Amino acid sequence: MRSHAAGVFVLLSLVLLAAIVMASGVGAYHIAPVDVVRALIARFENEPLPGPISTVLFQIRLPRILAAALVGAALSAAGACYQSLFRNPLVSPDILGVSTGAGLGAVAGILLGLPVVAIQGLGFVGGLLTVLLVAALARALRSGSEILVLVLAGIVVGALAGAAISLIKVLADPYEQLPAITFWLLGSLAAIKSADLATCVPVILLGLVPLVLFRWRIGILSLGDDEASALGVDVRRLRMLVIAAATLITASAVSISGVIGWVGLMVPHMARLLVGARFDRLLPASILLGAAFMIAVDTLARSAARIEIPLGVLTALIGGPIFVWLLARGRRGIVP
Amino acid sequence: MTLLDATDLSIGYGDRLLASGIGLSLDAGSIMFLLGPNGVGKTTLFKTLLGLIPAKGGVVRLSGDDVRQLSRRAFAQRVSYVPQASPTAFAYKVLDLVVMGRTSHLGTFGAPSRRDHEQALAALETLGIAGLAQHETSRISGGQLQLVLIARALAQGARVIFMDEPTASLDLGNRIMVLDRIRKLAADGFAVLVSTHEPEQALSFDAIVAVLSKNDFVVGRAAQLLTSARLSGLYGTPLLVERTPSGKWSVSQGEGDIERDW
Repeated sequence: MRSHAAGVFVLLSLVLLAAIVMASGVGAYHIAPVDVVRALIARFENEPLPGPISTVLFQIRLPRILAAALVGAALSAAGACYQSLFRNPLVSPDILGVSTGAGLGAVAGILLGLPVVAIQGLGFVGGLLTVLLVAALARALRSGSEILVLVLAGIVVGALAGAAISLIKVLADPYEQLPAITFWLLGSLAAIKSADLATCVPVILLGLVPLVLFRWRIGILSLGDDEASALGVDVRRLRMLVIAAATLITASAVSISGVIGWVGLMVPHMARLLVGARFDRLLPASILLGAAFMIAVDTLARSAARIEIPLGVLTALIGGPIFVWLLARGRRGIVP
Repeated sequence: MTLLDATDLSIGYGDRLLASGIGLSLDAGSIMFLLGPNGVGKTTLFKTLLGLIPAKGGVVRLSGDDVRQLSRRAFAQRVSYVPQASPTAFAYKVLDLVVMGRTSHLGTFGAPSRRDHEQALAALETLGIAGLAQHETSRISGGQLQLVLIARALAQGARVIFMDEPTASLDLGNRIMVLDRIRKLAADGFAVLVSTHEPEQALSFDAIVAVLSKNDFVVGRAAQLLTSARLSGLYGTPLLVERTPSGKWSVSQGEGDIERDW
């Protein structure tokens, strides 16, 4: 069983590497996978490269691919963590309203003309407030089905945040800010620059590292407070840490990519099919799979049509049917 | 040897005080049944002793150490908890669920090692269900799941085991099987505290019972404590405790009216 899981991790890592190399070659200026690998090796050995390859690869494509991998990994990890924390396979950053809340914060930042760091900060605050509000609402309204109340609370708070976003759109400058806000709300990595990565990578790692380190204990939280406590887990502290870390990475991802739905819900389910329900295996599998998935989606977004297809549109198109399929499978034990 | 003792314990939650002056002690190799009607604070007492709710007063000691001085992890190494069998949120395999019992022995960032898995498997073997190790918990019977949860408590390695109505919602065969395992655990030196709504169980074990009612808290041997009069008062309905010619205990509906004890 353990060797099976190890095999899956090797496979997922190879898939991720292949996705990076393939995606690097796709675009108006085509680069063969062999040349991508050669260029990467040359870069590491500090050898000079022929002009266009170097520019296309290192200035344009790789930052965007790295951003896609990071966003996919972050949303998937956050989704997996929220699912374990709320003991509910149907929650995700978007269903809990965290993405919309982070979106509201970031959109407010754009309206105020703030720098990227401040937009990220506002995104984080918006996401955190949303998740706290949803959890408090669900607790206050708790009746028969905790899961149902939680999802409903997420929808309500998400709708409120959505209304606030609409208000900001009305207030925004229609020539400069509104197009940026609209495009950004649909999710896109088109405008990504190395500088955005420089602020985002450390923040996402700051959230991701503790989640990976505490992966075993986070899995225990899925048994509920009493059982987790009796098994020796300090539930209250761990839960606060997980909410803070998962919200931090969701908000950071949203602040560079805009609102991208479905990934945080779907990828952990696909990962569960591969490695089973155990969280200490599920989290790394979700991170690898989410990164590869997002690279594939973003490559499709920039190469499938003449215009950039918004990422949120693509993930919904892909995620919807896959999720229905997962639910249908669920009758055979994936979603109890 | 006394593994757990509580002195002058007051229990409650929020601003509410449910009961006070509670004292009990649990020895290695013994079974104690905790009885009480709904609403008097049986669950609160159970959770307070388990360290899940802070005591309103008094002291709980584990092998002499005040539980307030123990970390969650140290507590878990001494007391394990077997909840009522209910479906998990995710489709864990039996072995996955049992190895979770090892959590209090792992480092802060640790995950179970091969050795932890071996101990989980050994716990399943002790209960005679090693064959279920790779089954999904959602696809085994309620009785089997209850045994799996007991196996998890064994893997946890604590000498004191708390069980919350371990036979509720089990069919007769599973009920007898689980009770049989509980008896064996005590014989192996564990101290077992069982919360139950079934006085016959305590009588048939001739165990120590702790009875929490609206007005008092008493501890004693089942056969002496669980009389027709006390049970009738406790549950607010006429009850008759009898011993059959073959030595079995039966609790059945009695005659007449009684004034409910609350």
